[in-house]
Amino acid sequence: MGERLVAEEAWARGPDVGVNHEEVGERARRVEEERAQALVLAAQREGRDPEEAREAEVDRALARMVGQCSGVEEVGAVLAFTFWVEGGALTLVGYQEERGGGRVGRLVEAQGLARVLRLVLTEYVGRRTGEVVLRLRREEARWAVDYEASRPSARPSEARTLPVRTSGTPAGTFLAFQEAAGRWSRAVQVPAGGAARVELEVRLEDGRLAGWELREVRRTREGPGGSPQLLSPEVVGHLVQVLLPFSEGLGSRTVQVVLRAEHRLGEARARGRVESARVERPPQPPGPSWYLSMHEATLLRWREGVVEGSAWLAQWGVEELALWLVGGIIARGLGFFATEGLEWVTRALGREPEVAAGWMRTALKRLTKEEKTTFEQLWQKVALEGEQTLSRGERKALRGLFVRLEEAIQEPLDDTLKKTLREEARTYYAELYPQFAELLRKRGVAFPIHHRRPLQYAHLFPDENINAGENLAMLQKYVHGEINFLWGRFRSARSNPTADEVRRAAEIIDRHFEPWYHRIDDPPGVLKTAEQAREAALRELRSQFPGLR
Amino acid sequence: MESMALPGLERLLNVCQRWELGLETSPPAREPLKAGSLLEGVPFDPILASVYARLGHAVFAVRLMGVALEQSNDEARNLEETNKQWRKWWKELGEPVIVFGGDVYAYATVPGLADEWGRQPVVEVDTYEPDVHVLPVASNVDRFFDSYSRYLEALVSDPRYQESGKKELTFPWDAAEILARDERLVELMRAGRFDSLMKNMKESNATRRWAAKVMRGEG
Repeated sequence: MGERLVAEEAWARGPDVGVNHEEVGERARRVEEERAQALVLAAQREGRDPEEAREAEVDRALARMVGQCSGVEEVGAVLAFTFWVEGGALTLVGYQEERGGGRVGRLVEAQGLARVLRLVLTEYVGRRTGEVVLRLRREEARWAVDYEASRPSARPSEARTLPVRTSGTPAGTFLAFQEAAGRWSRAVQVPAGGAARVELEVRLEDGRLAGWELREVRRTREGPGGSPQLLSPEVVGHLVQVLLPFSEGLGSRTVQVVLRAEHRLGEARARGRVESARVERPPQPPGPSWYLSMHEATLLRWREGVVEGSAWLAQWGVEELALWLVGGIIARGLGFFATEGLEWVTRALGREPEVAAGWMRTALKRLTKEEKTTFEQLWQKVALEGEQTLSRGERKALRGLFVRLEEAIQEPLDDTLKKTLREEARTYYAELYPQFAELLRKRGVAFPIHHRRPLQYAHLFPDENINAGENLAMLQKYVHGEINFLWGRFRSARSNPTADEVRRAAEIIDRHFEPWYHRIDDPPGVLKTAEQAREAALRELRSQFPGLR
Repeated sequence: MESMALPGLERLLNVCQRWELGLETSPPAREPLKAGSLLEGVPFDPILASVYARLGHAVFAVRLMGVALEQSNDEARNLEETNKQWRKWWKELGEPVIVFGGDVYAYATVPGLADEWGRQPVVEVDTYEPDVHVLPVASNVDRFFDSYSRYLEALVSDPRYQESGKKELTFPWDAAEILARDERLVELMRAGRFDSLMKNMKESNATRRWAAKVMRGEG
């Protein structure tokens, strides 16, 4: 018997008489959330040690901070790093640098700073959740570290919750930043012997560089004249080092950077330091919170190893990942994939994400195994590497698959698929109503799962999930027989019914048989028998559908 | 008769255990149904009688929501109850069947098609459709267990199952090659012995293709 309730106990607890749509919808959402949580947990635990990932987070943050400090010699200079800390993940959300007084201090060994920072990050920051500012002040012969964690602040949407076990930035990301910064720097001209304030915007999508824009170059000090100077390669390198840690965040965001540049007469190129870098986020990240957790989890595996991550993701299968997939489409906006001629698919995906995910899962069943595999591969590329990485052929193939889905959902189901969908309906129903799980496992033959709108007519409702919770009801075998008798009569009278006719017939049948739904025996307090309910429903069907016997 | 060898059942139990698919059983009744005794007025299959002499009920491949054998022991008489309810489908089927279990559809023996030893073939009966759909799946109950065990093996050896743990094959649709090894089943099908039971399947292309595959003996 295990932890599941046997039928008798379920009955003693009371069956679900009068289950309303909101309740079923709420349970369906919970089931979807549980699926998302299972994936997130698996991403964290399967074949990896989360403790090692925490350590790697500290190592990376520390190496980057020490790296930033290494070129700073002015006594009094202050470098402030703002992190969002959660679950051991350190997401950089801001950086600021204040110039010192100009006096050059003595050489400082990196080891001492690293020791202090490690202590702060592991012991003080530890396992808390919230914003932490680390302020590093250059003194004559050392760096003084100040730490502040009391500032109340809202959780930034790009913050991660899962620590990632990598030692640094992937080579591809580094090269992309380096290349963009080099290109951008050539557009900045600093007056000879003068200074300029440069503002730029860097757009990020997960770990990818999505765009780079020079907002303003303002001359803050005119020099004695002469041809303006370009920025030195060191400035480009420094800028890239400041920006790279921001690539570890999640979702779409923009990093606003202010850089102060100065040309000293006699020098070949202009010097420069980043004065501030802070993240600007969209007012509200699109998509539900579980999507972000799911996305973070899949991204985590991929960030820790592209090949292993892809293999890990592949084991889930496209139907299991339907929730992530739908979340991703919503986050990107429906326009991302919409093409001419897509009607039902767009409509289905426009619903609540949990509902759309259920639809997607059922709809994908209609594709061939090869089509599903292609879909899975292309989608993985979109979600993890960005839409822009798709080749023209791949883009065409992905759109083609959506078009194929649009056609497939309008075709009647064959017997093979019907059995698959019935098996899934039973499994899903047992998840929605765990009190019946044991019974359904042992006695599926005696307690069929009824599709209120029959599978036979699924193609007439292409944007609806035929296996949605509200379309399913467990019945006693004999009651199901009575209902089937009615659908048999309906089919004889209407060999090619419209969606509206099916909807009306289903409503009539529901109205008469609802007391028997989700029950293992006859409903108490109902005076009519199932046979009488059948006769009453038949009379109503006859009056609605002339010609029905 | 009750102590007859049941290699198919043994194999199914073994496959469930070896692949850790989950198996649920209960002890048999003190007085299990006997071969040839009447259930709903028709003779009870001798192999089923032998099965119920060993098991009160069973759920095979619990993890995959596999086939369940209806309970008939001192704890519950579901087998008897179920068949009482099923009588109403006999008319539509054109002959009596004895339902002994199922997944989402029922599996039943057909007394009218028994061989000289009284062994009855097995059909899958889908009563979800307004007109009952029937597929022949085995020449007798033990062959059914044998074929089902081979189907489970094919399912769990499938790379897609190994990757995602999801059921990618459906019985009996994706098991035509396995069923084709049941020579007597193929013989009965070729001789048209199931035709009247399968009368509602004539329109189905999927069924025609599937039946042709089984009958070609692509084993």
